[in-house]
Amino acid sequence: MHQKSTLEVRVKSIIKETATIKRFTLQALNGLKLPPFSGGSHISTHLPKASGTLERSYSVFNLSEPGSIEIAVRLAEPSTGGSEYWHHHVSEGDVLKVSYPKNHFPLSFQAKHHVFYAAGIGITPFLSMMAELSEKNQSFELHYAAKSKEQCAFFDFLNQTYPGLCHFYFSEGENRQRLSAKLLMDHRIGTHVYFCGPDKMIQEFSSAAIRYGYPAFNFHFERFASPVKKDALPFGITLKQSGKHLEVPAERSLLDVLREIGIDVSYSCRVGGCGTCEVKVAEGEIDHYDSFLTDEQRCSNRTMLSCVSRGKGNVLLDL
Amino acid sequence: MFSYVEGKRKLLFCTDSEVDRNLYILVRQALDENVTFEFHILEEESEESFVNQWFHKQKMGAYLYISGKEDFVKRIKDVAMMAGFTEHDMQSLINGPVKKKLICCTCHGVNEVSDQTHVVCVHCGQELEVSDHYSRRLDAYLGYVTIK
Amino acid sequence: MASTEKISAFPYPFVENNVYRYSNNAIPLNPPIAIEVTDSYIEELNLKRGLLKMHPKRCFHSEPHTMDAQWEALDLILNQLAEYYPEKFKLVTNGGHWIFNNLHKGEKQSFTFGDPTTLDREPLDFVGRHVQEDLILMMQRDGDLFLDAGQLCFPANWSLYFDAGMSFKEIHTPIPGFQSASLDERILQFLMRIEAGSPWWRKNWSLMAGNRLDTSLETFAEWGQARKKVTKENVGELVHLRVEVQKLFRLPKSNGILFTIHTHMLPLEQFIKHTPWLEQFSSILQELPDFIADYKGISLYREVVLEYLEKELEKR
Ligand code: HEM
Ligand code: FES
Ligand SMILES: [Zn+2]
Repeated sequence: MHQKSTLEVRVKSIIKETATIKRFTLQALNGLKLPPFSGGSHISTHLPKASGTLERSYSVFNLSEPGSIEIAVRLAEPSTGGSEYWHHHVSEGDVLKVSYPKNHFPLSFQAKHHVFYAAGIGITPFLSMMAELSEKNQSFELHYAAKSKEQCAFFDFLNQTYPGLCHFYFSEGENRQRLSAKLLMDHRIGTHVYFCGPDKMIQEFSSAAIRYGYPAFNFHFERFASPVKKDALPFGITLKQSGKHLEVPAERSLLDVLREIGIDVSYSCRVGGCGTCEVKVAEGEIDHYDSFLTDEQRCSNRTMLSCVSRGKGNVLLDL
Repeated sequence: MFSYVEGKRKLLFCTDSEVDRNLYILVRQALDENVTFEFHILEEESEESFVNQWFHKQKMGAYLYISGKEDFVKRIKDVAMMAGFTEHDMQSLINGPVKKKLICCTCHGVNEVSDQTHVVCVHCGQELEVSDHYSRRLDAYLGYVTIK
Repeated sequence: MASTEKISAFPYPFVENNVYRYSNNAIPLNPPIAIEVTDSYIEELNLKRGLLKMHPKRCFHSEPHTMDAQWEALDLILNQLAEYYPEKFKLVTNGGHWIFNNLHKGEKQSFTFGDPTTLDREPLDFVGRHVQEDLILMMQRDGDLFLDAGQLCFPANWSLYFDAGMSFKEIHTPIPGFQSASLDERILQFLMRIEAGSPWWRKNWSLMAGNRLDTSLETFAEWGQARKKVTKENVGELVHLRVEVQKLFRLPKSNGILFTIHTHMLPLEQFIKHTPWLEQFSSILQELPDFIADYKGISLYREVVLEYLEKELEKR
């Protein structure tokens, strides 16, 4: 399958931010600079586990010298493998492969005011976003929930760098405070709000935003899709019009198989990026390996890009 | 025509005339559904600073309807956008004639058109075909030269 | 005018299909180079700079918020010039202090990266004067892409002044059939997903009567007349295949997209020397639907071209 170009990085330093969160500072190998990135960007990291390469995405920020990229990883319990690897198998000086920065969570351009809602490790995308806004002299505020001050990563940094703009909510200890979605009621017209945290928190804030009359245009959230596995398996297809049944072997693409029997599916890139080779799916489940379809299109199970994506079991195609 | 948007916490109506009927149905519906609303008839241009303040103190969840003559709608819309409204939290409706600007592709001069398909550029004399290629930046359509 | 070039270097625009329709024909760009320096470099650069001087409003436009992206574009292009054409260009960077040496043109410029007061033009306008490509910056704003800056000297009959500030779909409204089957929506979706480090490219083709590179919409009334002058006798010489090599790079800092356009031209009489090209192009032009031929401005002389191609085919 198509390999996107990657960057080799060295782990320059590892800092323990809280009992469960570590910050990793990554640098280019040759003394050059790593690419810059826009607020809200992330990278995928390729972790060489014994069982195969594990791909995990993390928001990037840079509180160190220019040209570095930093990520913060919370040790999850139970760990899906990514955080366990970062916490227990990565040491200073190690060399790893990461993707170029990409941004699926960009700041609004026309916003008059930005409000960030973070819970726990959900603070990470906001670090780069706040840095960008403060450089551009734009108006923003942060609402950040954690268990306690000790478990609140970047507490001191935030207070010092953005005095008066950060509001903290601790759920343990004295002065307990809950981060409530009711805050959404009181933002001026032209505000864009951003949510990052556990699914439950994103759910709660998104539905509150809708209830308070926010257009979908004004609220944003980031959820990292769990990465797909990359082993191609054989699968079957049935063509709706002719009823013909065919097998797609593991080493061949659906596009090739269709074109071979004279079905003129057009194509261009053959790597799942341009969207040209789309075929409609009538029934069946799809493993999507492209980088073109939106999450919504993927989940609909009605469409697939025949150059890279594969069916599970048997698939009925609208052809 | 206006459409009533559900799920807003507050509606703002503004018009340039007391006899504007376009907003009546919406106001009725807001009353029926018990949605807070504010209604202003703005007949003087000098009310601009009032409008500006009115818009600036609004919260997310407000929704704006503007009804009136073309110049009025454009003016109020500009004030609203400056305050933070976008096309996602407002609708507008123009009563009466709408002027259309046409940019000459040869000299960039601006011509006023109504519903002709061809005009002669008042700046350079080129014959232009009116297209539906529209620029929001220039608030104008593009006039093309054709070769026959 | 030698803006036309050698047949060996000509970017043939068609793939295996003998039928041409609008589609997303982009593919990954390998090696990932945004620019190309050809034999007509000096000549095209002079032409470009002349146009920029005579018609600044027509050839350059920028919105203030594109400054970061303009510097990123300059960074990418100057570094690539020096890396891929080291005998023609040198770049020395010492922290923020940069010295760019265009040996080919005999020009040297030092400036402080990121400081607009150290260049006498905007960064995009500066770097565009050292490459044959037209340069467009599409900025990603609020979930869409907008043409917020560009230096454009060799447009295929469109106006930068008019299109400036438009979204991707708005720009493409004049193209017939582009909205059907949501082609515009799909291409936009593709563009929004372009990632830094993985650039793309595509080719666009057209026929033109004449060999001007500066076919701006503003001067169409002049150069468009040549369409009426195509005859059996002059068709091979007058009519040119015009191909735009278009490349797309995500700029990671500003999250914008740099779109470079390199325009190539070859007279039909050169183009058809290569028999497979003659054969395929002849079938494509034969089959080409009227709406595409009209849009591309071929209709007035399509028959003359078809007859010419057929005669040539008979000779083989
Ligand atoms: C993102 C940067 C792009 C810009 C700034 C751009 C701009 C333009 C412009 C200005 C035109 C001429 C429209 C007119 O007649 O006024 C055009 C034509 C066209 N564009 Fe794009 N475009 C871009 C990307 C693409 C991509 C990725 C595709 C992919 C298929 C595409 C497909 C086309 C096609 C098919 C035409 C018609 C060309 C012809 O028939 O000769 N464009 N584009
Ligand atoms: S051919 Fe490009 S996505 Fe399949
Ligand atoms: Zn004119």
